[in-house]
Amino acid sequence: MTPEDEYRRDLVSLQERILSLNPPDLASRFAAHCGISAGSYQQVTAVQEGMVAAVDGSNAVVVESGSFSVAAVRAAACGFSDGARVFRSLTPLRLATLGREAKDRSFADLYLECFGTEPETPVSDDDPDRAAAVLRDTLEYWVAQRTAERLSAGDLLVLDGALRVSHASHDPVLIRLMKTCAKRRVHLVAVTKRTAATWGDGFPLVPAALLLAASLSVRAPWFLPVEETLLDTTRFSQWKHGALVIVSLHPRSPLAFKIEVPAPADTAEVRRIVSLLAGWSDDGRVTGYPYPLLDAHRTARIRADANQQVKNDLMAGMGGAGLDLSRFRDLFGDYHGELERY
Amino acid sequence: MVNLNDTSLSDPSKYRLIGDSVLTYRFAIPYQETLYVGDILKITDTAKDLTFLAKVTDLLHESNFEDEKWDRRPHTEQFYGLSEDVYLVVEALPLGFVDGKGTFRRPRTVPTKFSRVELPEARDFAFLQQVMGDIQVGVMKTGQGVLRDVRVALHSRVMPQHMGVFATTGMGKSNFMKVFCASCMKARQFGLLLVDPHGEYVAGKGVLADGQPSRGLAHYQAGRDGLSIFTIRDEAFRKTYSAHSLFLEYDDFRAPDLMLLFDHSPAQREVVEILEDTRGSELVRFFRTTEFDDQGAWAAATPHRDLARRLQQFTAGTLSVMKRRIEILARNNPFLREKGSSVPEILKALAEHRVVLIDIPNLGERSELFVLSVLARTILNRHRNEARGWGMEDADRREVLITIEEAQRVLGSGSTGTQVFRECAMEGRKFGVGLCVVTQQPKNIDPRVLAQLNTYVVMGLSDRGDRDMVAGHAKQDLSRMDTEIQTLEQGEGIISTLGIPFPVSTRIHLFEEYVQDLNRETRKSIGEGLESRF
Repeated sequence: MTPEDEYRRDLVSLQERILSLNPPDLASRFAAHCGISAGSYQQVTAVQEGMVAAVDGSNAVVVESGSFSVAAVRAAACGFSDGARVFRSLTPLRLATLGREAKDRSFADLYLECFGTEPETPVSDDDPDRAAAVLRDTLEYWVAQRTAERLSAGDLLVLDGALRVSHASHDPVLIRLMKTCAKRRVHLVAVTKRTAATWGDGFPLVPAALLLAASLSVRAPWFLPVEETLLDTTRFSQWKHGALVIVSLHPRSPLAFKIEVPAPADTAEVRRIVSLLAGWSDDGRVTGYPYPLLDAHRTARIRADANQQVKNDLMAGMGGAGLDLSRFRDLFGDYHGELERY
Repeated sequence: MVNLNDTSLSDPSKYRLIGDSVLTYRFAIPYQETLYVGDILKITDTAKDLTFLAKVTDLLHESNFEDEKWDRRPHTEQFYGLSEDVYLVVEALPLGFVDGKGTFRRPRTVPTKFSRVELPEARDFAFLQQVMGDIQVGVMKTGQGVLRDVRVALHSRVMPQHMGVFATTGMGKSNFMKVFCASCMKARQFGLLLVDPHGEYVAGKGVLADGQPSRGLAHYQAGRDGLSIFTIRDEAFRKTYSAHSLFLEYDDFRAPDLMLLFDHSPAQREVVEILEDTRGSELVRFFRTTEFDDQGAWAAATPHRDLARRLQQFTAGTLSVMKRRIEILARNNPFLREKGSSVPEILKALAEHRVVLIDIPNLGERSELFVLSVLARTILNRHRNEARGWGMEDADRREVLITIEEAQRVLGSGSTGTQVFRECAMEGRKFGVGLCVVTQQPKNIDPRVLAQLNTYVVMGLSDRGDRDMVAGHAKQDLSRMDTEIQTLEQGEGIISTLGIPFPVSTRIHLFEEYVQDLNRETRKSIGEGLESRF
C-alpha cells in the first residue's frame, strides 16, 4: 500500500462513519426513538419585551513555558431593551499563571475575590487549558450574578453554555445564581452553540431535531423539549441543573441550538424564554442566534492585539525589574513562533 | 475585589482624525450622519494650536467586521448595535491651516492624530475676507448649504491673466457672466469687452423661473458709469438704455479676419497672408471693382497696381472666391460701412475701465466672430504699441479682458485662422490683454490655451473628458473635486484663482437679486452721508 493509498483508505473510512450518522430515514428514526410528533414542536411568537442581558467570557494564553503558562481572562455582560443596547459591562483583563496553582493560587485567589470564599476544589495543574477555562467560568459566573441582580422581573438573563458546571467549585455559584433569578423572577437560560448530546448510539441530537422539524414543516421559531433519559450519555450529570430544550429561533435561519432552562421547567416558562430569545435573533449578521450573546462575546473576546499588548506590558515590566530580554526568551521562548517565520 | 464597570455607550472614536497622509484626511462619523461632498470641515489641533480646513471629497461605508459581506447576506433585515462598528469614513481634501496669528497657510503639515473634526462657523472663515478680491461673484458654498457671510470675490488684478468659465448648458453661465460684469462695472479696475449675439445682456431676455422678467446690465443703475453699450438696435432702444450705435468701418477690417469666418483652401490662405497688411478700405474697393479672368487681363486693368502685382500669380477662381467673401462680409454686416467707426469710442471706454457691451442680436455667428476678431486684433495691437511706452510694472497700464463665448469655435486645437485669439492667450497678458474663455466643451479648447488661464470658474461638467481637461490644467488641484464638480447644481461653481488659497465652492449670486442689492447698497450709502452731514 502506497502512502497515497493509506490516506485514501482513511478518507473513505471517515466518509462512511459520517454517512452512517445521517441515514436517509434519520428524521423518522429520531421521531420513533424519542416519541416525537409534529405536536411535540411548540411554535412561538418572537417578542421584544423588558430587558435581555447576556454574559460571556474569554480566555487566552499570553505566554507559555514548558512548565507553566500565563493566561488572560475576562468576562462581559450586555443588556438590551427596545431594540438597543442599554448597558455593557466588562471586567478588567485578569492575569493568572497556569500549572503552579499550589504555589501561585491564581484560581483560588480569583475565586475568593469573586465569591468571598475559598473554592471547595482546586484546579489541577495537569491541564492548563482546562484550568484557564475554569478561571474564565469563575469570572463569568460572577458577572452573571451581578447582572442578575440588576435585572427586573420578566427580564431574561442569557448565559453562554449550559446550566451545568464543569468544575465542582462552581456548583454552589450556579445554584446561587439560579436562586437569585428565581427570587427576582428573572428568566434564566443557557444557550449552547455546540453540543455533544447524542441519541440512538451516536446520532447528534440537534441536527436530527432540525431535520425532523423540516420534514414535519414546522416553521421556526419553535422549541422541542427533550427528555435526557433518551440521550446516550450526560456529562457532569451530578452538577446538572437545567432541562434540555432544542430551539430554532428564526424562520430564515438554518440554525438550531440546545438550550437549558432551570429544571423543572413548565411549558409556559419555556415558551416565554424562547419567545424572548427569538425576539432578539433576527440580526442580519447572525440570523437565528440571540444577538445579545454575540454582543457579549464580542465585548469579552480577547483579540490577538489585546493579547500582544499584555505580552508587551509583561516584557516591559520584567525589563524594568531587571530581567533582560534574552532571559525572558529563555523562559518563554517558543520554537513554534520561530518555525512559523519559515 | 473584581471590578465590573459599565463602559460608556458614547463613542469617542468618531469625528477625530485618523488619516495618515498630508494629502488626504480621513475620519469616521456615525453611519446615519449626514455630510455632503463639498462640505468644509474644521480640524482643531490643540497640540499645535492650528486650525486646519478640509473639504469633503468622498464618503464611504465601512465597518469593523472581518466579514466584508456582512451587509449583503440574504434576508438581512434587522441589525442591532451598529453605531460603533458601522460608520462612514469621510475623505477630505486639505485646504490649509490657520495659525495662531490668524494667517492662512498651505497644508504642508498634518494635524495631530485624533484631532477633533467639526463643522466650522462663519467666523472660522474670517481669514478668507483678507484674501478675497474686489470682483464679487457669490457666497461660499459648503456641501448643501452656503455661508452667507463669506463672500467670494475674484481679484481684478489677476483677471487680465486670463480666465475660463466652464459649464454645460443651463448651469448658469450667462447669470455668472452678468454678475461678473456688474461687479466689474462697480470695481472699474479693468476694461471688459463682451459681444452679445443674443441680445440678453443689456436689458435681460425672457423670464426667470419665478415668472419675473430677467434683468440686464442696464438695470444696474448705480453702476451705470461703468457700462458702455454699443448696439445695432434702433434709436428708441438706444435712448432707453443710453447706448451708442455700433459701426465698424472698412479700415477696421483686415484680410485675416476672413480666416475666422470662412473655410479657406491653401491657396486662399496664401492670399490672406499676402494681404495681411493691406487696409480694409483698399481691399473692399479692389475686390468690388475687379472682375477676375483666367487670362490675367484684370491685372492690367485694375488701378490697384500693387495688389495686382502681388496677386497675379493666383487663379481667377481663387481670387473670385475671395471677392465673394468680402462682398458677403460687407452685405451681411449692417454695422460695417466705408467711414465712421465706433472702435475709437470702444477703446476709450475700455481704457476707462468700463464694461463694453457689443449688442448685436439676430446677426448670427459670423457677425459675432467678425466683431470679436476686429476688436481683439485692434485691442491687442493698440496695447502692444502702448506697451512700448510703459514698463511691464507700470501702475497706470490699461488692462482689458476680452470675453469669448463658445470659445471652442476659435480656440480649438485644430482650428486655423484664429491667430489673434491665440496671440491674446499666449502673449496678451504682457500687454494687459486677457481672455475670458467661456465654453461648455473645455476638452475642445487647445490645452496650451487652457494652461495660460489663471482663473477657473467650473460650473458643472457632466462629460468626464471635460472635467479631466479642466482638472489637468487648473493652477490648483481640482482632480480630487471631481465628484463635487459632477454634483454641482445650477448656479453653483468651483472657483480656482490666484490670490485665493484654495478652490472655493461658490453659490453664484442670482443676477437680479445681486443688482437689486447693489442698487440698494448705493442708495443707502448716499442716505448715510446726508444724515452725518446734517
